[in-house]
Amino acid sequence: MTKKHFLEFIDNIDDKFIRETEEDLRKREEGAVRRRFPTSAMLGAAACAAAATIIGVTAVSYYRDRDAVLPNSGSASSSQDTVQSSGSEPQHTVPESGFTEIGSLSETANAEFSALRQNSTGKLDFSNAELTLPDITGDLYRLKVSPTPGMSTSEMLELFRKSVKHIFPNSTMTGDIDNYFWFRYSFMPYTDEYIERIQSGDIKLKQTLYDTSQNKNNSTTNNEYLLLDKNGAVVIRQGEYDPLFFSPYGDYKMTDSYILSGAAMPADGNEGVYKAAAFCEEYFSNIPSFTEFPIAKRMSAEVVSTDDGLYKVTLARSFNGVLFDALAVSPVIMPTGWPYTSEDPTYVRTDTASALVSEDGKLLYARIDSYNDILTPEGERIDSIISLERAVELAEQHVKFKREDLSVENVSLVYFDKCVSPYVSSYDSGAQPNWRFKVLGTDTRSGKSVWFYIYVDALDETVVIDTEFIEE
Amino acid sequence: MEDSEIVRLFRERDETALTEVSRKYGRFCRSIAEKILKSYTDSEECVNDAYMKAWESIPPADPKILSAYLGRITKNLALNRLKAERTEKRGGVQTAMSFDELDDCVSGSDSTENAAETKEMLAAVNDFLGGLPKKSRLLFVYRYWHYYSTTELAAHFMMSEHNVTVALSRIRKRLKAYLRKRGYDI
Repeated sequence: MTKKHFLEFIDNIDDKFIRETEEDLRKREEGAVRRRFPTSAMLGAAACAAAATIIGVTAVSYYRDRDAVLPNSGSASSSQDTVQSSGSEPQHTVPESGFTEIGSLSETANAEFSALRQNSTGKLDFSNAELTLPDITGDLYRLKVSPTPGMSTSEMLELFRKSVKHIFPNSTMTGDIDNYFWFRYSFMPYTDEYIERIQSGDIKLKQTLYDTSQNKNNSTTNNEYLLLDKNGAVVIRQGEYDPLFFSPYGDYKMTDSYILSGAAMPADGNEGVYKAAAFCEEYFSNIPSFTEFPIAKRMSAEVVSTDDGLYKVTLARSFNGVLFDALAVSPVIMPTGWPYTSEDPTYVRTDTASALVSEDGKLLYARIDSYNDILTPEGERIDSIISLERAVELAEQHVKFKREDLSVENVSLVYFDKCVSPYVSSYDSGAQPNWRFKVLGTDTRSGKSVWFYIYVDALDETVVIDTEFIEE
Repeated sequence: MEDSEIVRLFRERDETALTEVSRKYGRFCRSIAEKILKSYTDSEECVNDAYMKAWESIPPADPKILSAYLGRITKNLALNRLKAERTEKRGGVQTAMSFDELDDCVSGSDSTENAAETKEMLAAVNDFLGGLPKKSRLLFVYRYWHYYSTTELAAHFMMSEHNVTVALSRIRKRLKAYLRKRGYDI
């Protein structure tokens, strides 16, 4: 068949697929119209105005990204990066459905949250945190904070946990840490009342695409879940901000469920493993019935230090021999320590997993990411993953080709990103399993140190420099 | 207005049908034409021609999926228009729209299947597309039916171009394998 024939052939595909694109285009268009603030700056201003109203503070700042300058640091802030907003900004109507019912802050929480925001002296600097309502329908709450120098992942985690709990004391949270230490948090302020309404069919769940890219270096198409009442009005909107964690709500009937997720990021070296383990363990231990899980074997946490210096952390394992192999964070770190150099491409394995568990302990959803066990969306095993050694080799070749003037000193593995599973397909998430490295080198002309991220597709060996070259 | 209602207006020769079609599917049709013609004015004309074609063809035609029916008319008109403009001097539509990536998918031989085989193979392709995750399917259809560029797809799906390219490549590979399993080769 020639290309021309192929295209003519595809011309005749079923009408329903063409209709699907028409519906997709229409939905996106409607979504674009609904977002009345076209620029991030305006969006931020609107969000701040709304946030200021909600949390009762009189002045807040919106930062477009984590590189923005802190207001209290004494540095000049760029007008492009920062939009100052105040209580005098135009107020935007927050619809009665949604926020007023689920998001009212207690006076104590309000005060504590304000105090957190204003504390810029300690490591837990909250001055650059955001509580935003990116859409004036007012149903999505997003809280994010930029890491300040010296802030560890556990401190960030603590910061988020505190913040979210302050705002929504009864909320259930999900969270993860990505390779940029960029915390994304989504939380579901589902109260009993909402759960009842969902179960009774009074409100229903709708899945849409949420087209906000949170990280300029890590563009993602995110998912958004809307709870709609019978009249189609949005009751709750929840965004999922990471392609690694994909809520299956679109496929499962929404019940009184928690979505839990944990990711291991051993970027702190061995210590990170424990932090990650603690992270998951704590979340799961928050569900009393979890340990009495009716259909899986008891979940347990174990940290094994073997004679040869390996550390292995496993939080859970085995679910009737089916997919739910682990609810785990199990990196194995070689005694050579961190980082992994290209000269010593030692083995590292990072597994992550998440589960959706109903309040009575029923497993609704589970997924595991293990680079040893990569599956297609149909559940077929993929065996053609390239090795870490090969990935390092490819990365180095690519760098050499792209930057002859760069002397590579270190290629350290950031993580192995696997987004293929029966539940989360690479096609859905737009991501492929890949080895992600941080490359450190020296510009031989200027003598300056340079670093950047690079990733190597684990299936087809495509190499892409993922960020700009950054001079240290 | 529901499609069935619009089709009824067509059948009753009520010109409101054209207004309704324009309101409901105008942007969709224009989007199809623009991807091919790269010209707003030409696309507008093309879409208007498509409405006329629809007016002339319904009845007797009784489209079950109006969006697809109009989309097909628009696309054919746009391709014909492009062909008329470029065929002789530049070698046709293929020159205007590059699908180099298909080199790894199609054999390139001009072997023509008979009508029955083509129909069966098309059914297999439809099955394949139906089994894809929605996003993959949309990617494929936007690329090879609507002729979106990878850049446009990347913007549309908030993906990197690299991801789009790789995702499409995998879909093609899977399609090829799927068809081979069933005794077809493309």
